[in-house]
Amino acid sequence: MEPFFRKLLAMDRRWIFLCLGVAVIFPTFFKLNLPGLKASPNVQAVYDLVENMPEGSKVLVSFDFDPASKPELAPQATAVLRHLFRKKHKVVAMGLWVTGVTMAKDIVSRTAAEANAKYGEDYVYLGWKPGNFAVIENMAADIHNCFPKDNDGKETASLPMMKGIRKLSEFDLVVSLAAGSPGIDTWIAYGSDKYHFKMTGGTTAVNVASMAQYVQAGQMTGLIGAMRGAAEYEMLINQKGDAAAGMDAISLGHYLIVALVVLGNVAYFVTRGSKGGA
Amino acid sequence: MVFLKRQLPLLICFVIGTVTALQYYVPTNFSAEMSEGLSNWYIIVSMFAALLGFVSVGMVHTKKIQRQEPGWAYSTLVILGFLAMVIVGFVSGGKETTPDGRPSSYGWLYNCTLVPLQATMFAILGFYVASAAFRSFRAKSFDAGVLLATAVIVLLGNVPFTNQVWAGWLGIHDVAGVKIEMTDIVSWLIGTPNAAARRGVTFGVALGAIATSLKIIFGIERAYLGGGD
Repeated sequence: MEPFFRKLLAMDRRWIFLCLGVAVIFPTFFKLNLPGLKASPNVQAVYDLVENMPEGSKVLVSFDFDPASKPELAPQATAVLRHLFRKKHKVVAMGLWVTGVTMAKDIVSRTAAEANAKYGEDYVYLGWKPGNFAVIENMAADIHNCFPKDNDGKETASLPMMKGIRKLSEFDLVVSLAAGSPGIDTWIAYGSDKYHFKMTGGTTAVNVASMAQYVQAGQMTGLIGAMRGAAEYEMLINQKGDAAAGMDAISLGHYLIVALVVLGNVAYFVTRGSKGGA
Repeated sequence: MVFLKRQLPLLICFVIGTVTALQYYVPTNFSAEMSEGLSNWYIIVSMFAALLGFVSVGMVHTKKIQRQEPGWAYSTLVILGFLAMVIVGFVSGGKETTPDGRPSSYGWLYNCTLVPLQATMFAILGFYVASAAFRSFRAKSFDAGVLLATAVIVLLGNVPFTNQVWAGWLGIHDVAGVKIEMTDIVSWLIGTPNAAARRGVTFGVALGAIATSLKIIFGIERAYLGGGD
């Protein structure tokens, strides 16, 4: 066995790339529909929050990510917005990441069109403004002053929906879908902790571990984690989307990495101490 | 000149730093207005800083092209991409869509270059992670073994099918009333030991940031002023 494992350790890494490529691409074409998806407590908490708010609640959705995180966060945004529009909440969307502005606009317009939501009455897209945390501080003081015009150049104050929204604290809920900073932690530090509004959000797989502390401390309610979280949310709103479609690929990818870790360690222990071993 | 280069920036830093910190604890209208004013100033300054960044990037890559340093061809692409985005952005009036709802040339450039390029760059990481997991993630010590076991549990627990096998087919739900489905184990790992460690790190970083801020406000730390006098 030892020569085999020694060969395995010296394997060209392009074989690993090929295996991962196959593991991800195969289920994209041949659906496996692996069972077992169940809403985690954190995703259920976000869903319950949106579900139990009275109709017409004011919700701010901040797109704090760029296209690099689109596969994980765009399905979350789509699912949450579908739920918000379905419950007839008033949605104000914006972003703290400049490279996400156009992508966010596409997602908001598409989900609003699905729900026949009217621009200016049911939803508004403010776009991006430089300043990171200072934007949050400014919005806390006066949103119309911070965003005098929306993303399309219309006067914010002239939009019917915005007449009833002047300050950040007037929102019933703020949702930050974030791939890093500025994001959830910025909204908590400069927004919800200071101006006392309800906060929830979603993040990428690598950031779930960092954001868990805010959920545990009660600084935010629930957390949607990565594509799996998005798939759980899609399941809860009963409308499958990109996340559900991608779960097979994610699952096989995870299993392959676990197999590689186990195999790598077995090979390490078998060849350890031998000549030419690990 | 020393006053303009040294003392004035220190004075501005001291006054703005002190006022900004104090206004947080003084909940009055005046304090709120002042905070808004300072935030506006921050936004204006950060816009100019962004402009400086663009100019700096342009200068660095132009020099690289002029000197034909290794990789200068990539610098040409940076400059060309930069110019294309700026010119097309101006021509499209900064709008992603035309009045009839079709993507503008700026929107097209964004959707057909930036989005796939960024997505590809990030996706490539997955392949390197897989390779690194095979080559480097070894249980060489007890600590590394604990880390490895935890990582494997979290990886497996994040796949819904694992829970189907664990709870659905093997029927493992709880032990003495304690829920031990895979999702519960992963939630506990992330919400308890991980959150505790992360919070410790967050506190440490925050205390460090406070200490550094105080040093800057009181003029003890002056590295940001640059060299010379």
